[in-house]
Amino acid sequence: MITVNKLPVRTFNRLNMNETTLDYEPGDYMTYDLTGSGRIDLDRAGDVRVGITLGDNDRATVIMNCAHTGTLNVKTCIELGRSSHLTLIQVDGSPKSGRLINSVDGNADDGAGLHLIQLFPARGDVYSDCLMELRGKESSFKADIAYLGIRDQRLDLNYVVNHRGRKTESSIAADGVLKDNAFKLFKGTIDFKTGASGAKGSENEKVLLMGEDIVNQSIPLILCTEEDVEGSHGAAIGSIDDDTLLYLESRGMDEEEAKKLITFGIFLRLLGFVEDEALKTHVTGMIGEAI
Amino acid sequence: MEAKTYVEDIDRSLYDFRNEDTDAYRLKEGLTEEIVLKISKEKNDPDWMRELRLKSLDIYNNMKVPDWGPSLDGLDIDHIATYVRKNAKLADNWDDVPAEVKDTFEKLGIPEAERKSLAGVGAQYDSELVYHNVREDVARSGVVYSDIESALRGEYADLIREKFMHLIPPEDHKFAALHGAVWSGGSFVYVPKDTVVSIPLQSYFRLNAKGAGQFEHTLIIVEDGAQLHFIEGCSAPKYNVANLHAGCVELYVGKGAGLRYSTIENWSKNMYNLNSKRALVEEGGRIEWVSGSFGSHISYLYPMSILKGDNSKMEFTGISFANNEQNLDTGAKVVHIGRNTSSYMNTKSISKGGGACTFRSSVIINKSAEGSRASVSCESLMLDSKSRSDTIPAMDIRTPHADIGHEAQIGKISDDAVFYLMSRGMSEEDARALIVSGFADNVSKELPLEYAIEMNNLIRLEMKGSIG
Repeated sequence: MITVNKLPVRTFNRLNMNETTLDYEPGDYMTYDLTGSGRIDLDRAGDVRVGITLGDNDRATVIMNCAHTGTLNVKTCIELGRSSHLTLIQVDGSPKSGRLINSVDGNADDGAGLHLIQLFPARGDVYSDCLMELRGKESSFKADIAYLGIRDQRLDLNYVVNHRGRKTESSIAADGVLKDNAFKLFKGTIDFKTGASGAKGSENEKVLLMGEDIVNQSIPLILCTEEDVEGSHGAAIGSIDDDTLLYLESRGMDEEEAKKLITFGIFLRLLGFVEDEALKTHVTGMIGEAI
Repeated sequence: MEAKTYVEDIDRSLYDFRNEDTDAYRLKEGLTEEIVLKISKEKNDPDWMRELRLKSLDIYNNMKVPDWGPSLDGLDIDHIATYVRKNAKLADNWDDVPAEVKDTFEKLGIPEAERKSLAGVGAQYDSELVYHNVREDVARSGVVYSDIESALRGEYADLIREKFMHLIPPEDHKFAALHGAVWSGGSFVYVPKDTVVSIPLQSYFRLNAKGAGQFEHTLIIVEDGAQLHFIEGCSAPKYNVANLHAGCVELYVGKGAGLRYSTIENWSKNMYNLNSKRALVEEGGRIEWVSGSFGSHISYLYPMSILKGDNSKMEFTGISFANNEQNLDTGAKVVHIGRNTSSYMNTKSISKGGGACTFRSSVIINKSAEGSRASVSCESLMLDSKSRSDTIPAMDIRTPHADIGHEAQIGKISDDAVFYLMSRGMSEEDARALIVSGFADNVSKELPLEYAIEMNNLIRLEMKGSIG
């Protein structure tokens, strides 16, 4: 058994949001080490450790395509040198029976930034964890997540950003759609540590609920021990609002088509960052198949 | 870096005065079956109540301390006297209340408030009520406002047995179990169908005894179509040992009924305030919570509303102000069960001088609650970097036919706003106090004028000395 997706501070135990325990025992880890741009295709079950290290002023984009069957447990450790910038794109392109246990741990030096893009288009269960340490002055973290949950799929997502350096910035945006009896738990934490003066952090979550038996859980945290910071979080959860629906229907769409368009739109915003056309087509196909 | 000085010991003489613990009956410290049975005997409990106490004690002994909130390491039940009774009978005339007790409530302004703006008053001193009275015209309309113990033996005995600790059962959490074992004092309110009580009732709880606990139980039943505003106030002098408050408030709001429950909590800063409050709202009913948390060393306080009936509503407006030595973990909980139910939480918190505020909430929308709406808004103000402010809002939605909105913000006092006010001739201290008062305006405007003034005075008191 392993415990994943722990909240940095606990809340009411009855909500069952504090952590998740999985019936999985990691074995030997296969390792990949990158120091620049690249693509990693993970098409087998098992345990994988990915190290990404960028030197000062480096720029890189790494695409990680998870196309496994069974359980894939992947841990990504990121070290960002001064003023470096990494875009990490993670795509769950596994068969529907696959299970993804994903974690990303990052450290950013002065002026460094990580842009994490995650696409979870209606595959198997997903347990995704991220801990970002903004140690350096003016370091930054941006997370953009898109998901579609269908059938009895379980999406369990946890993001923690520790602002330690001065004038650090973070934003977490998670947009998704839940259908059928899908379950989703989103946890997002922005933690302003003492000394992070001038830091800014924001979280935003939008969830469209389209299934009669869905379960949507959210717990966006802001923790703060520094006076000179700005933090915010917002969430909008519900069905498509009547105005949007009316607008789309006035353009000749019926309700089903409107829902498909909106679901596509959530992913299309992020697919713009994926320069690999084959992968883009693959993801689009998976969404089309699911809806 | 802005230079600041802090006044560590704030003048709280309005609340910090104390009486010697003489002429009082006090059970020994700790929690044993013997003590529970002594309380039961002292109160002449009916059999079912004695059994409830013993069952609660057993649950307490087998339950763990919560692992998710502020540390309770400084609270040792073996050093808490669970029952202290002043040698005084319950009176309905202030002249019959012992002089020093009457003087206590005079200083707190209770008799004056009763004369000016209240329909009835209950005043509890340590473990027992010492004064209870309700205006004749209100009593004539069928409204019952009495101590729980009298009600247990009167016309409403069966109703109380049916409702007492049914909304908050002893199994709910460790301190609900503690309450079930040693509860004493509190109020029973019954508002008959379609009766509107146009001016508020108030209960005031004063814990004077050192190293003691207060465990009052408030049970309010507002029948269909009735309306009530109930105000709860509490305070205590400060001691160098832990005191404990584990009260319990159970509110039943009938069909189309309305209840506003306002609290200004100003316990002393050695107090562990582990209070439980819960409301059950029937079809078309409305519960409004107005909550100001200023005192206590540690607080766990999350009033909960169960929106059982279709079209029932809940509104929670709260403010917490934590200063040095304080860790206030407050918020609200709501469960939507009925269709087209709505809830709205709006909270503010202020952390200063090393104090910690946590806003903790849960919104649960069940599958049955189609057409429901929920909105949570919380804002936190940090006045320095040795304080702490956390927001931990949870949402659990199980129907697609619901709309949920949530927003939270954290920040500091705007330098521009302070500069502007100073340019109009204010000192920096006054400018910051004014801005904080404005920040708390959403709560103060929901309170009766006297209480809004008291709250603003508290804020001003807490802000004193924050600038150097």
